[in-house]
Amino acid sequence: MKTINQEDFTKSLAALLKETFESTNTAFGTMYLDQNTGLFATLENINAEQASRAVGGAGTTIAAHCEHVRFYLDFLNNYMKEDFKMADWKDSWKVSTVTDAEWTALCGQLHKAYQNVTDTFEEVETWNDFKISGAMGILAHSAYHLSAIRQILKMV
Amino acid sequence: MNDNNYISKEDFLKDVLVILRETFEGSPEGQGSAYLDHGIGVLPTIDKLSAEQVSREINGITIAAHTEHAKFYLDRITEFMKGRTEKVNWEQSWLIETVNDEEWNALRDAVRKSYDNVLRSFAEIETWNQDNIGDAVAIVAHTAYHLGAIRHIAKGL
Repeated sequence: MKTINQEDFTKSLAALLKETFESTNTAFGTMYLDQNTGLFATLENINAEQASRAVGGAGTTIAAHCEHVRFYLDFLNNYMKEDFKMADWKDSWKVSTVTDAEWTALCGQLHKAYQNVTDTFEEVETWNDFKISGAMGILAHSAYHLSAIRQILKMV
Repeated sequence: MNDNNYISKEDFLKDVLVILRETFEGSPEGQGSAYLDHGIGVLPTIDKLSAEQVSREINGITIAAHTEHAKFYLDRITEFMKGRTEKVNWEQSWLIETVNDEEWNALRDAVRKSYDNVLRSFAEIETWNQDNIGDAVAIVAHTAYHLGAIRHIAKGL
């Protein structure tokens, strides 16, 4: 067949994105993560001081990874909405340490950015080449940084 | 063909393959990347590491363990895409912790073979449905996740 039922793609995409951020699982279990290891469940028990600790060889903090993920989500969300803006990716790594208030705000912004992305996905009428690639980028990028955050968490 | 209910199989396959290639091989020189810095991917990353490095335990886990686990997942999901129904004992994916030079070379070759096998399997699929689409997208997410871990551990070696 030369075509794919759009719903077959969007359901799989939504399930995997939800697992990545919200740790949800189906009746068959999770598709690629251990239970309760999604991004929001991971961040729930991290305070500003832990999120600001630079550990390991990379020296990158959890706060830095979170801000980078948020920046990427916002950028790709605009892209998916055909609002093509240039980004200086160095700006995505500007946050390193956070105060309690900044950490609370950053986690809130991350939730908002994720919600915006899921809203955008639901609004897509026609999944064409660039929208599929944007969505796949969001999923892979989020999974990559979730893993880095969970590695850092072992040391803070 | 792109109406509201259908996606072009060509678009889907192209986009999944582009991001899978970036995840394993890194983005091609001179071209943009979807989510990784240039020169980064599973294969170039593990090629640069020695058996001794990947056997060093950092925070309770080794790069060899992540590599074997990622390969095991690739192999099993590819089997599911080809009709496997038997349950998988995922604990078996974590049996390797350390490797000697010979074992590390064999594991790296096995990862390449598993990746090639995934590409071949994708090409052979005639009808993409929710199950095999879910498997394909999960392979991308799972591999990206463990690449993130491997690269983070590698920075601390």
